[in-house]
Parts: sequence; structure tokens; C-alpha cells
Amino acid sequence: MNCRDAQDLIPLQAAGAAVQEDSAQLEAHLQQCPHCRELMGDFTQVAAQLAIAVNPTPVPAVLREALDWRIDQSMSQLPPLEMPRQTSRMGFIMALAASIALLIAMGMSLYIQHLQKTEIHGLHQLLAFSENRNRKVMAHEATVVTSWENRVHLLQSRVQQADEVIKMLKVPHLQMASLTGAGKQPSAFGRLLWDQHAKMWKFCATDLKRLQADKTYELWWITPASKKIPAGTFNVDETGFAMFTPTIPAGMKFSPAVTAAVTIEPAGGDLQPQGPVELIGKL
Amino acid sequence: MTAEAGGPLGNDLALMQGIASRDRSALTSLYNKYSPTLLTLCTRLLADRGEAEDLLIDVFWEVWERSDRYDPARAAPLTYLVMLCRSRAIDRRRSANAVKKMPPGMQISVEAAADKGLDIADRGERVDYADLAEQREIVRTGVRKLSAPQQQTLELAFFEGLSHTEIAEKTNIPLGTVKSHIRSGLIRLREILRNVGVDAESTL
Repeated sequence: MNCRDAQDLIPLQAAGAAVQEDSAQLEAHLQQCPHCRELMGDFTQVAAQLAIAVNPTPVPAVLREALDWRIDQSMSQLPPLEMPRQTSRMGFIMALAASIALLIAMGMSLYIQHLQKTEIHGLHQLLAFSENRNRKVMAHEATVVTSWENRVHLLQSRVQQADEVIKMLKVPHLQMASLTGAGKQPSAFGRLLWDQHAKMWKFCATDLKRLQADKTYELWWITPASKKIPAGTFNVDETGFAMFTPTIPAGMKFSPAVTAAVTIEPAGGDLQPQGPVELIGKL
Repeated sequence: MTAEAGGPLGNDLALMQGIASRDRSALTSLYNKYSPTLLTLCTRLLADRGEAEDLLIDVFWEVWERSDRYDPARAAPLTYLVMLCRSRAIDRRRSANAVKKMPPGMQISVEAAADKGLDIADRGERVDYADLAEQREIVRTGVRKLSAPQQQTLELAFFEGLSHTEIAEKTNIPLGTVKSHIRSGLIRLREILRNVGVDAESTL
């Protein structure tokens, strides 16, 4: 770096705006150039004047106490708590020590409280998570149990129905009639079993669709005179199966002239068929 | 020796000599006179009042502890103090893990001190530094005569500790123009101060 470059850089260096690389080169030049060194000193003093251009800041007296304390320490070469020589300084240091101890204690207390709160919060979260998970597991298990209970109940019902069918098949004068699907359920099927001597009647239906809660299936006897006599209502299970004992009016004679039919009616049944015919067949 | 005896320039030099001869009152006088000005500078450079107070103590401790480093032939006392503050402040800024050297018990905030009414002025210990006040007004007048860009770039460099590249980035002013503003600003200030008959710190 020559003097021209250095003198270009000196104001920047004095203002503190030079970058490190330039500063190093300038410093090397100043070491060997008294003229530039003098100029550098001149600009440095001008720049330093900027510091007094701004408003001074009131300085707390405690800072001077701190400076005194530090100088005392460096002069005495003794540990801080063993070196006080003045009652007022001793009192000041003791007060500081007490303040520090109090601050530390308060800080520790707050910190411990914070830790406790954090830990409690974490435990609450863990507990809530566990409870939530347990609820889900229990709900799932309850669903499984309910599902199994339903299946058991269904199987028990099927066994009972099978027993009744077997019992019917053993009667000596068994008669049967078939009802076939009609309307929208052509694959549905119904069968009527009876023994008029034994006064036993059973009606079975398969492949019927399940109805909404406000609807029901209703079995009818249709006499040769087209009189429609309600024989009972029923609903099918989830497999579309149903079996029940129909109502037989007193004095009614079962003959091929009688027709049996199943319609869909409002829940509870009706006195006369209003809905569509789903099964129908001659006895 | 009373440290404040003698003329203005003699005052500061006498204080520095007193410090070199381990006169605590000389240090106290120098501190009382310049600590408010230097605290402003430290606060601007560090942008943290607590760090600035810490640095102020560091600087005066260094003035005392390493008094042999001061060379009156190289710089006036104020220049020495200002450059020491700037240098140490920039060191702190560069150090990611600056460790406070101030004893923990001494780290009392300004607000806390003010609450206690312990400010120097309140305790009646403040010396009337008329010479300093007069010099301040002269420098302010000189700074006001600089152009706005000159004032801005000088302020960012001197009080914010930014290099010319950082100033260029911050102000979106071309790098060459930033250098030019700083250079011309300081040259202009030098001329102004000379024209009003102030030779830098001659009155201090």
C-alpha cells in the first residue's frame, strides 16, 4: 500500500468503517510511514469528537462502586469476601451478597416451580393421552363384545328355530306350502309348515331385505272369497331370514283354495294390506 | 496532587498521569467526566444497556490496570478512551460467547439505580465540566454542517460499528458512494473544527 492509498483509507479507518483486510494493510503501512501515521492520529482525534456530539447518558453511581470494587480486588489479590477494609464497603458487599443470595433463591424457586409446572403439565398430557387411548380401546372392545354377543344371540335364535323346524318335521301330518318372490324381491322365498291335527303352524322366509324401522312384513290369508285376513307381522334378521308362528283364525280350513301372501306395511301391521306383495303362494 | 488542577488539556493529561501513579482520585475524576459520554457510545455500539454498562467498567478498569499503555504522544485522553471503547465493543460484538467480567452482584440495572436515587448528579458529586459542554456544542455545530448522507454514513460507522460494505447493504447506497460520504464527511468535519479554532481536543 502506498501513501495515496493509505490516505484514501485513513478517514474510513478513523471512522471505523474500514474492512479488516484494508485495516491490516493500512496498519502495516503506518508502521513505516510517519507522515501517514500522523494523519491517522489526526483523523482519529476528529472521529473521536463524534462521541461527544451525542447526548451523554446519566451513569448510575453503582457502576462506579463496581469499578472501585473491581480495582480493590485487583489491588488486594484477595478473594472478594476476605478483602473489605471499610465498614461501609463491608455493608455494601454484605448487602450485595444478601441480594445475590435472595435473587438466587428466588430464581431457584421460580425455576423449580417452572419445572414442576412443566412436569405436571406433561403428566396431565400423558394422563389425558392414556385416558383417551383407554377410552378408544374400551370402545373398540365393547364393539367387539357387542358384535360377538349379537352373533351368539343370532346363533341361539337359529338353533331355537332349527329345533322348532325339526320338531315340525317330526309331526305325522306335516303339510307344506311355498311362497315365491314377487314384485321387487323375486329371489325371496317363503315356506309354510303346518299340521292341522296337531294345531302347529310355522312360517319361514328367506332372502327378504331388511326394512326400515317404520315398516314391517305382514302375512295374510286370502280366502276364496278374496277376504284378506291378517296372520301376523315379522321382521327378518341380518341374513334376510325370519320364522314365526302365524295366527290362525278360528274355523279356518287350510285348503289349496287359500292363498298366503306377504306384504310390506307400516310398523305394527295393518288390518288390510296396503303395501306391495313380496311373497305369494297357494296352500 | 489534585487531579483536576491545571488547564483543560492539562486536566486530562494530569488525570492520566495521576492514574499511572496509582492515584484513585484521578481515575474517579476521569470517570466522572467521561463516563456519561462513553456510556452513550457503548450503548449505541452494543445496543444493550446492560452490556454497555459492563463494558464501561471494563474500559475504566483497563485504563487503571494498564495505565502504562497510554501514550500521550499518540492520542489525547478522550481519543484514547473513545477508541478503547469502540475496540472493546466491537470485540464483544464479534464474540458470540462474551463472558461478563463484572461481578454478578454488581450487575445492577440503570433503572434500579435510578430508583435508588444514586445517580451521580443526584449525589452532588458531578463536576461542572464546562469545557466538555462547550466542546460538545462546537462538534454538534460542525456535524450539522455535514450533508445528510455524510452524517448518516458516519453515524452508522462510528456509533453502529458497521463497515462500509455493511453500510452499503443497509442503506442501499453504492459502496463507492458510501466510502466517499464517510471520507468527505470526516475531512469536512476536520476542516470545520479547525476553522472554529478547535484543534481536536485542544480545549479538553
